[in-house]
Amino acid sequence: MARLISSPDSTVVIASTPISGPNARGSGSTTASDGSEQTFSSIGDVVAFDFKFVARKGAAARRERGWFKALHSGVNATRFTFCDLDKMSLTDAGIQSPPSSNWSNGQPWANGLGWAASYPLVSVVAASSLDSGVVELSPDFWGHSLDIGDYVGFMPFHFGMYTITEVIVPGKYRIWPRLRRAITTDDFATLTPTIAMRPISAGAISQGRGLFMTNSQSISMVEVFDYDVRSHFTG
Amino acid sequence: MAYFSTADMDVLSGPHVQRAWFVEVHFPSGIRRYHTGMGKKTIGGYVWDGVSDPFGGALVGLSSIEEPAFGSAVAIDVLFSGASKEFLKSIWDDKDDIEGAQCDVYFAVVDAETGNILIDLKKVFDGKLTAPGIVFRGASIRSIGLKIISIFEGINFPTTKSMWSPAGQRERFAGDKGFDFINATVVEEYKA
Repeated sequence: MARLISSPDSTVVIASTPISGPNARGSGSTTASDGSEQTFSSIGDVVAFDFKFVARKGAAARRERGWFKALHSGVNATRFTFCDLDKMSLTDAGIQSPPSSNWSNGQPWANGLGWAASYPLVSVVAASSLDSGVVELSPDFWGHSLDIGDYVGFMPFHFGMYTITEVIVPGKYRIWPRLRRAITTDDFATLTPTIAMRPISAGAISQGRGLFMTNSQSISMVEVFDYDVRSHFTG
Repeated sequence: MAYFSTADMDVLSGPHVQRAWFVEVHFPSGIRRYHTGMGKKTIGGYVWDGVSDPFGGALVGLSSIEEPAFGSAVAIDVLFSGASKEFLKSIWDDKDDIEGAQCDVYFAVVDAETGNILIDLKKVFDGKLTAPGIVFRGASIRSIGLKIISIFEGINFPTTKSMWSPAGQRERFAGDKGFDFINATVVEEYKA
């Protein structure tokens, strides 16, 4: 049975390009005699990205190439916490905190760093079923200040990354794609969604090592639905 | 009553149509429901599994569905590939039971954004499966192919009043010339 693995902690995405999912193959358009186009598509949207990774050397480069190889061109899937470079600031997210703070005695941790603030979670106020396209969040922190284009995910135990496509009323949002797993009022929304992904094909991984460090390492990956993760992958 | 209502026609002529074929197969191991999109879709009270695997590694390919016309045996080609050896072997081992299994093809349209069903399942093809065969492509690709054939093909000739021909149509609806134009090239000329 295929494995669900984790990306190395050192992995840093420097570029992400959304690519058209497999649904594009089931779609097209018909031209009417007056020249207007009727578009059509098949059921099911999927999140797919082309990721490029930061140049690495030493242990980080070894872990990264090990991760690439363990994915076996699509045999295994990986957990991937999506790092949105355009994420709202901590202040916008409702946190008034310095970026880093030491312990009360003024001392940092052993690595010289203090405590850092993280993005708060927001509770879900209404249950939404699998394949539902509308979610409702509580007014805490950023729950009512999302706008179109924000990425949200849910936790715990929920693979899926959703983009807000419509603010119905503050706190009630339409998302794309529709929910991969039902959510209840016991769940929480997060701004750092975790998604399960796997390479789209044997040629989806591009590895390169220059004289000093890796360069141009990239991977094209497609989402694995939450319920497929549970039935096809272990670990 | 028309099979596709006026409301259905409006949906089908809209600017965007999200549609899929839904196939209900009575395999020896039980009834399986598939659709030609991605992921699971609940429609008609059942959960249908999407069978198109991401990016070309199609588990099941379904050929285009042609309208049955007199003189042509209409069949839908189904190709299983990219699946595990065990899965392909299980199909092969069950081939005697698969032959003749009932396989109905439905059509439905859903709203692309909300997932609401705009046209509910409509049965478009009352079919059954042929015996599976191994399809050879090139030196190394082996897949299992089978056909969904119409029940008309099963009895080898159209039954009375079911012929999809100009004569059959006139028998059902006197004076209906609609089928005279099937497979005929129609040329429209616009004169200034």
